[in-house]
Amino acid sequence: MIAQQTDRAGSVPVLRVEAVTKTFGEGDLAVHAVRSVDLKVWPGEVVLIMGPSGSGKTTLLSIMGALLKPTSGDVWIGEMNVSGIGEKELPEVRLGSLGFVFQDFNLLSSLSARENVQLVMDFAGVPAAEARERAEGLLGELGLADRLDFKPRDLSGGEKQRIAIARALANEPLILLCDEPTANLDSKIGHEIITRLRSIADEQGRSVVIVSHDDRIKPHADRILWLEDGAFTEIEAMAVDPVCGMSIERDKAPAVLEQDGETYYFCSQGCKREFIEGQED
Amino acid sequence: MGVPVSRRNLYESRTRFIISTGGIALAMLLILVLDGVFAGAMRQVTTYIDETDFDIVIAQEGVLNLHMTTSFIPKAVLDEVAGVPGVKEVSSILYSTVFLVSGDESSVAYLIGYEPGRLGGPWETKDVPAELGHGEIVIDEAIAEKHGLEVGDTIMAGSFEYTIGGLTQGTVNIVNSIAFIRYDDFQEAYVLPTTASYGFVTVENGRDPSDVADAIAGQIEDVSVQTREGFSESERSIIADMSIDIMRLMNAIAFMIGLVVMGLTVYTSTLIKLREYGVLKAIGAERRHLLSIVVGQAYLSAGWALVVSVAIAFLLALVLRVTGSTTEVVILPVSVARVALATAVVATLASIIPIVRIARLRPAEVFRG
Repeated sequence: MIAQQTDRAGSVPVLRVEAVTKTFGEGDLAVHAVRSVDLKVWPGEVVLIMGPSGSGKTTLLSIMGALLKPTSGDVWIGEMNVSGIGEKELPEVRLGSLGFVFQDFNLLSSLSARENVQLVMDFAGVPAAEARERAEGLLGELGLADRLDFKPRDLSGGEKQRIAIARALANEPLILLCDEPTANLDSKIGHEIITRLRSIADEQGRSVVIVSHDDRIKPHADRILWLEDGAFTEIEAMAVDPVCGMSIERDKAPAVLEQDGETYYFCSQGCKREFIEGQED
Repeated sequence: MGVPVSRRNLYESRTRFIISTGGIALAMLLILVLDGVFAGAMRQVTTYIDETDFDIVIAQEGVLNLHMTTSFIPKAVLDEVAGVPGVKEVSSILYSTVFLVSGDESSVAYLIGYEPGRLGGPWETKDVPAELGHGEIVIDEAIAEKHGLEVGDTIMAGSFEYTIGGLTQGTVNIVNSIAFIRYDDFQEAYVLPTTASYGFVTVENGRDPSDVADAIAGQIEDVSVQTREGFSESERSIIADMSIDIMRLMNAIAFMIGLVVMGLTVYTSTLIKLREYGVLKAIGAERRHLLSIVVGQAYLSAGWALVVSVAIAFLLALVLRVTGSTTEVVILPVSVARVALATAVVATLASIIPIVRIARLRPAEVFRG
């Protein structure tokens, strides 16, 4: 399956995923989490990967982040094939080229906001004074200048996620990889976080890959990809169940209803029945 | 300086920090106090030798110490010693190990028969008459207190009854105490009219005791001749040899307790932070970074434990001294160095399992909330 993508003349993708497959287990017990996925991510692009739970989104994100080796295929970050390099070289790739934003923020609870950001620069060998200054600058840009010495437990979800973004940006990566960045936030804060990620792509030219179930992100994405059963599906072939809101493949929908010239797709017969009963009432 | 993650992690939970560091400190304190008690005991067991102002000791041939020995030399031999060039004076004592008994209480003592006005008698005394009378005994005030006796009361020393004529201080050790009677009382009780146990020799001013000891050994046959330092060292080593295995065993147990406490502490705190270590791996921490965090935390905890244990040990030694306890705790620099080394070894060993656990941690796991 080929995801929706177009080559851009004169532009080099910052991330290339080529025929990547990831299989867990062997024989009859083998689970194909990702199946021959191809993807190119361009500079300054926001790519949203959606799909049902268990579709392989997180596995794919882990492979793109050089956290997991694919069973087959290659992942290129810039000019470097990261699926071919050894474990010892990977930390440098993660530090220099990638920034991670997690669903649960994953800040170090014993460190202050500033120290959480400063730490990744320490790892990269940035002198302490410079790292401290840059951490304060980044947090200031994200509206956290008055929260520098606060511990994560004393901060709101939105503030924690902004610290996580500052940490992800600390070593000026090519790509931000975000796993459900709005999942633990209310709608207002979630919107603010997405707007920040969008502006990072627009203003700094960094690419942002987001894995999420959150439909509110769609308007902010340059591209939306649907991952199901480990493979990308054309987004046009998708429909939304009008009862439960679940995204489903049109040609695999368990229930369909033609009514007044419209076609409705349902995730189950139950949803279809509920839809019809709702109209009768 | 970079972000002190080890320090931050260690101090994050004050309760956990106090419990873990306190546990390790107690184990280290056990080693220090055992060493201190041992060192104190070693100092106490040679108190008599160290406080008696002689230069050379003469004993029966082959006898090199006081503890658990008997020594008999003819007094005539000591008269010969007095004639050796460089010898200023020779004092003799009679010595035996006895039980001091009163009522149901009994305690072991070195019984010393000394010549009043000569070397070998009590040095730090309380209520001791200028010259001890016949049938009188001087015992340590701690022993008198233990037996519930005062000056004027009677006590059995071996098969003979004596009246307490005075009390001494500082003559009790972990092995026994020292009791003093008149030399002639000892001679009479044990029927030893022409015999001494040890001869205490002082040398003339400006003479080297070692040279004079060599001269005595060269001229007098069938005796052991030692300087006071050599005699003191022999006494210490024989008692040390008798208790060293127990000390080693106790130290090994304390070391193991420290290791287990610290191992559990470091492992538990690593497990609590396992997800964070995964995050650090995911965001680019190298193995050496994680290693330094775990080991740094263990060493920091061990450092605090060392400081706390040394401080408590010194305080304990001070309290025992001030309260006049018969148990002396002496904290020697070598003991502190040994405990510091043990603490460092414990911290290193305790870090191994957590490091292996972290090394096996797959960073992709952090995406799974």
